Amino acid sequence: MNCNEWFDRLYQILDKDVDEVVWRDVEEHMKLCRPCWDRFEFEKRLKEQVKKSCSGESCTASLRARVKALFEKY
Amino acid sequence: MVAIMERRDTSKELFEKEALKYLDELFASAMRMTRQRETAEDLISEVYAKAWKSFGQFEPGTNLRAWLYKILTNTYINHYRQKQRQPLMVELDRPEDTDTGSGGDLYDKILGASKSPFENPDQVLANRILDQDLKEAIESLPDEFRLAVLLSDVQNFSYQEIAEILDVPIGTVRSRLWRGRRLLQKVLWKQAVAAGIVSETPHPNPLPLGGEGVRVRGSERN
Repeated sequence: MNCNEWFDRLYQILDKDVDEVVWRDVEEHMKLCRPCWDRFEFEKRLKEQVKKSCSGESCTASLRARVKALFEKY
Repeated sequence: MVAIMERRDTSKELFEKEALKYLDELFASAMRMTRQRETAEDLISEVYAKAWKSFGQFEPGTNLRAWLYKILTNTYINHYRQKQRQPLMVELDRPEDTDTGSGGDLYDKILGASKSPFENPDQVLANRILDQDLKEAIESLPDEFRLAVLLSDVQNFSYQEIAEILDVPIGTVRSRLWRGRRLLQKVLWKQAVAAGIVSETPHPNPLPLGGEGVRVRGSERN
């Protein structure tokens, strides 16, 4: 696997949407290629930061009550 | 008859208990979709009303969480998307600008940026890009990309699950994630330039980082 082939699969690798055979090639390439390794670490961090920044908002007690009241209705 | 009713009530209450576990995360997703608290609350009410009504259609043992997200995205796309037109925080270029790799490559751009020669892209991301910036950047993405990125990055659904939730082929999920993430990086880059964190003009002598200078994709890579 060369850098371009690796880069084409960057997000599939990040999201673990590759089979075992491809995964072995990916690992092999990243062991040998520092720029691709660094790039992968960056994308992984960005994915984690997106998750952190976009979760954690709780719904209010009033919405929870509203949803529970709907349950009684149906 | 009474016994049947009782059994049904019990399973319905169990369903309520299970479905309510996802209320907070569904609400957070609704906030990213609608960008407004009041609208997000209305959307969530509608989602649960549908869930309670169609309780009978839910097959026990299948993925309740994915089922609720399917109701959420369908309800949003069909009833809410048109209603609200909030001004975007960041003006986007034409979507076709994001078709190719170079359009939104935050990583390579930071490596070459003139105000950040002493910080590598990881450090810029960790120290300079705040949660609020990220939230605004996500919210500025067009719906089809935003939903795919949220379902993958925030909700950790697999490509197969996302395909089922959005009712699109798995190849479409891959391409929406690809373009959505490139677009997200493009927006983050614009925000960083606007905030003065990085400068748009490339640094004349970028410092080598981890043994590498600015990388050029293609011929110089092995």
